[in-house]
Amino acid sequence: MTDRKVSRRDLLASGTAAAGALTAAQLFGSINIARAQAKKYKIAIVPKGLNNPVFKSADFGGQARSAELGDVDFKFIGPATSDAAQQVATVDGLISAGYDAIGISCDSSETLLQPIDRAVAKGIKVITWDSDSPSSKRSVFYGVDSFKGGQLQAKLLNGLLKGKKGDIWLLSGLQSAQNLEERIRGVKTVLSKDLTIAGTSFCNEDVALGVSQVENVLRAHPTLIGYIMIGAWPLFSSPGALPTLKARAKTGLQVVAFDYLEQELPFIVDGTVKASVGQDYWGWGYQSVTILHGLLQGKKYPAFVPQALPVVTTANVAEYQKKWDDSKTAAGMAAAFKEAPIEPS
Amino acid sequence: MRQTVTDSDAESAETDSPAVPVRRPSRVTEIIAIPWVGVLGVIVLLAIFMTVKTGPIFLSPDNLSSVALDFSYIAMAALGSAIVIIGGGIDLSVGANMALTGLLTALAISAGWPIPLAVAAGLVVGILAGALNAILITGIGLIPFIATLGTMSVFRGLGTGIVQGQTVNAANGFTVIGQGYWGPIPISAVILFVLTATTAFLMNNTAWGRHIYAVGGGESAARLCGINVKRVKWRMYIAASILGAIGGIVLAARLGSATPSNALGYELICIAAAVIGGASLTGGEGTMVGVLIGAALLALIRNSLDILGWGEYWQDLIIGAVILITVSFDQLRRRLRRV
Amino acid sequence: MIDTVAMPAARTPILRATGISKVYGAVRALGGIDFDLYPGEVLGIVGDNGAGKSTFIKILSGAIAPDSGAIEVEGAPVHFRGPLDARRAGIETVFQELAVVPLMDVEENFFLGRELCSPGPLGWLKLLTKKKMRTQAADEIAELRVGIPSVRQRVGTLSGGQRQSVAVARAVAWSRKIVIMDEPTAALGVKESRGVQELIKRVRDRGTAVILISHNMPQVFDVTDRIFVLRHGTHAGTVKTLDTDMEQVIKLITGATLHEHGRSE
Ligand SMILES: Nc1ncnc2c1ncn2[C@@H]1O[C@H](COP(=O)(O)OP(=O)(O)OP(=O)(O)O)[C@@H](O)[C@H]1O
Ligand SMILES: [Mg+2]
Repeated sequence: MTDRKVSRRDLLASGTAAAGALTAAQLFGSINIARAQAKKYKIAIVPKGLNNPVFKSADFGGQARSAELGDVDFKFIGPATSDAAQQVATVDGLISAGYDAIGISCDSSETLLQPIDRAVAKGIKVITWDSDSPSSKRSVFYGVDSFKGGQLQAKLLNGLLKGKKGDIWLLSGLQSAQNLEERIRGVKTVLSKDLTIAGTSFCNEDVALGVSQVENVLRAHPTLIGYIMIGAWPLFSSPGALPTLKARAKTGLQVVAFDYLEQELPFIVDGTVKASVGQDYWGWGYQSVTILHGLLQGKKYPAFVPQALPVVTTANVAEYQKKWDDSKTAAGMAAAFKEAPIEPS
Repeated sequence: MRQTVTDSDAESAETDSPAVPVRRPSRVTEIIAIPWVGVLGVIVLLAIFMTVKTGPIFLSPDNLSSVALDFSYIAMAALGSAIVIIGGGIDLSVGANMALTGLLTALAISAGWPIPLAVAAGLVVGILAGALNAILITGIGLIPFIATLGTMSVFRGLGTGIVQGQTVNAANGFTVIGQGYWGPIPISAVILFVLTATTAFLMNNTAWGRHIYAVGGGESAARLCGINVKRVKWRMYIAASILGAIGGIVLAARLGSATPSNALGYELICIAAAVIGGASLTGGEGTMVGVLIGAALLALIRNSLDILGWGEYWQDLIIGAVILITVSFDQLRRRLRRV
Repeated sequence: MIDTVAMPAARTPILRATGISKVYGAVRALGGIDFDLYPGEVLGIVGDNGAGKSTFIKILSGAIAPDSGAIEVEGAPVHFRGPLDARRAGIETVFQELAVVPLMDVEENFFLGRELCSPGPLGWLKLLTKKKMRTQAADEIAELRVGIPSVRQRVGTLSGGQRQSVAVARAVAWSRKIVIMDEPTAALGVKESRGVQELIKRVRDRGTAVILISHNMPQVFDVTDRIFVLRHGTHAGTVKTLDTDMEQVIKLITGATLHEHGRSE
C-alpha cells in the first residue's frame, strides 16, 4: 500500500502494460504453465474518498483478507476526496488495467451505475459495499441496511426519551447521498409520535460546518430534547469544540449518533452522546475481498449481504476504545476486529 | 533624497495655472466610495430581519460570539486571499494549505511538542507553501490560477498521504486558541482582529502594501516605475500563505482535531469574502476591513439559516443568491462613483 | 551634405550608447545604434512608426535589455538591470505607455516606486509619510503648471491628456541628469503641448539633458538642439537643428534621398 493516488493515466499505462503481459503470457502459456497457475487475482477496493478516516479500516481489512488468501493482488484506490466523477474515472481506470474484481462504495448510486455495468460487461466481478448502486448489475451489496440503521437510531432515541414530548433535530451530511437519505427515512418510520423533527441540517460532510451548525441550532432552539446525527461529522472534532452540545446533554438533551470511530468515542465516554449505531468498517475490506474472491472462484452469494449494527454506549465504549488502540497497524486491527469470513450461500 | 524644481524656474512661464489642491472629495461621495458600506447595509438588514423573525436570539451575545468564533479562521485566510487578489493574483491553494498546516500542527501537538513549537512549525509550513506558490508563479512563470490549482492538489495530497486519511487528535491545551474566550470574546476573534488591523495597516501605510496595489493595478507600470515586481509577488504569496496557515491552525484548535479533508472548498469562500468586501478580481482594489465584513456577512447568513431552520436543501442557493446580490450592489455603487 | 554633428571633443557625453541592437523574433528592432547625449542639450529622436524609437529609449532607461551594446553615463560604463538602475543613474523617463496605475491617485503615481518613508527606527517598516507626499506632489505639479484637478484623484479618471501630464510632471520633478520623453504631447491639446514645450526648455535651462521623441516636427524644431533620426532600426543620421530644415529631416526619416547623404556614422 504505497502509492494510493494513482492517476487515471498511470492506470491506463499499467493497463496497457498488463494487456501486453497478458499477450505474452498467452504466447508462452504452453511453455510456462507453472507461472500461469501462480496467477494472482487482481482485486481493487474503491472507497468514496481516501481522505475519509473510516475507509482506512476497509483498507486494513482488505489487506488482511488478501494476506490470508495468498492469491490476491490487492489494491485500495479511490479519489483523494469524495467525488463521484473522480470515482467513475477510478473505476474506468481499473477496468482498463485489467482488474479481475472490484468492490465499490458508491459516491452516487446513479453516477456509478454505468461504470459498474461496463465492468460487468467485461466479465469483471463487481460488488458494492457501504453504499450501494441498486439498479446496477453488481453481484452483491455488502453493508448495513441503512434504513434499518436509521430505525435503530430512532428506537434508541425513543427509549432515551420515553414518556417525553417535544422537538428533536437531525443532522446529515449531504442531501444527495442515498445511504444517508435511507437512514433519515428509517428514523422517520420508527420515531415516537411524541417526538417531532423540528428541522434537519446538512453539513456537507464538513467537520467545522457540522460543529457550527450543531451549536447554532441548539442555541436557536432551547427546547430541543433530542438530536440524531445521521453521521458523526461534528463529532470528529473534540468535546471542547461543542460546549453547547455538552452542556445541554448534561441537562437532558439526548443525542444518538452514528458510527463508533476513534475520534468520536470521547463524546460517548463523557456522556454527551448516549448511544451510537455502528458499522463494520474493517469488514468492508475484509468481507468484500472474501466475497469477490469467492465470486471469482464461482461461488454464489445473495444479492444483499447485511452487516451487523453494533450499538456503542457508555457501557461498552471502553471495549471499543481498546479495539481502536490496538488498530494502529493492519495486523493489530485484524486482531482487534477479527471475524469469520462470510460463507457463500 | 530628491531634487525639486526650484522657484526660479517659475518666472519663465505665465502664471495662469492655480496650485493643485489636495482636494478631498465630498462626504457623500466619500461614503459611497467605501467599498464595504453596501455589505454593512446588508448585514444591518439581515439583523433587523432576524430580530423581527426570531426575537433576540440572533443578536444575543452568545450567538454573536459563536459566529465570531466560527468565521474567524475563514476570515484570517480570506485576508490572505484578498492580499493576493489585490496584487492581481489568485490563491486557490489556501483551503488545502489550511488543512495541511492544521494537520501538521495537530500531528506535532499529538506527538507531544510544546504548543508554541507546534504552532511555529505550522507557520513554517505555511511559509514554505507560500514560497512554493511564489516560485511557480514568479520563477517558472505559471499563471497564478494554474500554479495554485496545482499546489492545492499537492497540499491536500500531502496531508492525505502523511496521515493516510486518518483524523489526528489535538484535544489538549492547544485548543484554547480556537475554543477559548476572553470574557465574552473568543480568543480566535481577537487574533482575527489583530491580524486585520496589522494587515490593514501594512497595506495602507507602508510602501510594501502600496506596491501590492500597484502591481495589481498595473504590473507593467509598476515595473517601469522601478518596483521589483517579483519581490512584491513573493511577499504577497507568502503573506497569504501565513494567514492561511494561521487560519488552519486556529481551525485545528477550534475542532481539537484535524483531518486532511478539513477546509474543503474554503478557497472559494475566501475569494467570495474578499470580493464581497470590495476586492476586485482584476487586481489593484480592496481593503482588509472589507474582507472582514465580507466574511462576517457569509458567516451571519449561514448562522441565520441555521437559526431559522430554513433551507435545508436550499442553503447553498440562498447563500449564492446573497453573494450575487451583494456583489451586484457593489457594481452599481461603482458605476455611481464612475470609476 | 548633412554631417553628423560632433560636439566639442573636450565634453564627455552625459549618456553614450554604442552598438545597441535588439531583435524581436524575426524583427530587427535595432541594429547597432551609436548614440551620444551631451549635458544641457535637448535631443530629438524622430522616425516613422516602428522605426525603433521606443525600443531604443527603453534600453536607455533600463526597461528592456539590449541583445548587445554598451551604455555609459558620464563616461562610466553602466549596466541597467531594470528601470530602477537607470533612475539611480539619474535618468527619468516618460514612457509612451505612460507607466501610471489607473486605480491609484495622482500622488500615489507621482511617488510610485520611491515613496517617502518615515526615517528613524521604524524605517525598515517602510512607513509612508502620506501627508508629506501629498503636499509635495501637489506643490510640484502646481509648479509645473500642468492642469491636474487634484492629487487625490485617481489617474484612471483623468483625461488622456491629464494622464500624460502626470507622467511628464513626475519625470521632470524627479529628474537629475537626463529626462527622456517618448511622445509626451501625443494626447495633449495645443495649449498643453505648448506648456510641455516650455517645460522642456525650463528643464534644459536648469541643466538637465532632455531626449524628446515626437512626431510633431514644429515642436521638435522649436525645442531641440540636435535631431537624431532612426529608420528601420538603424541610425539614419543626426543633424543640428539650427543647420537644417524640416524637409531635410523628413527625407532622412523616409530615406527618400539616402544616396545623396550617405550613411551617417
Ligand atoms: N515586445 C515586442 N515584441 C515584438 N516586437 C516588438 C516588441 N516591441 C517592439 N517591437 C517591434 O520593434 C519595432 C520597433 O518598435 P518601437 O515601438 O520601438 O517603434 P517606435 O519607433 O517607437 O514606433 P512609434 O512611433 O509607433 O511609437 C516594431 O517593428 C515593433 O513591432
Ligand atoms: Mg514608440
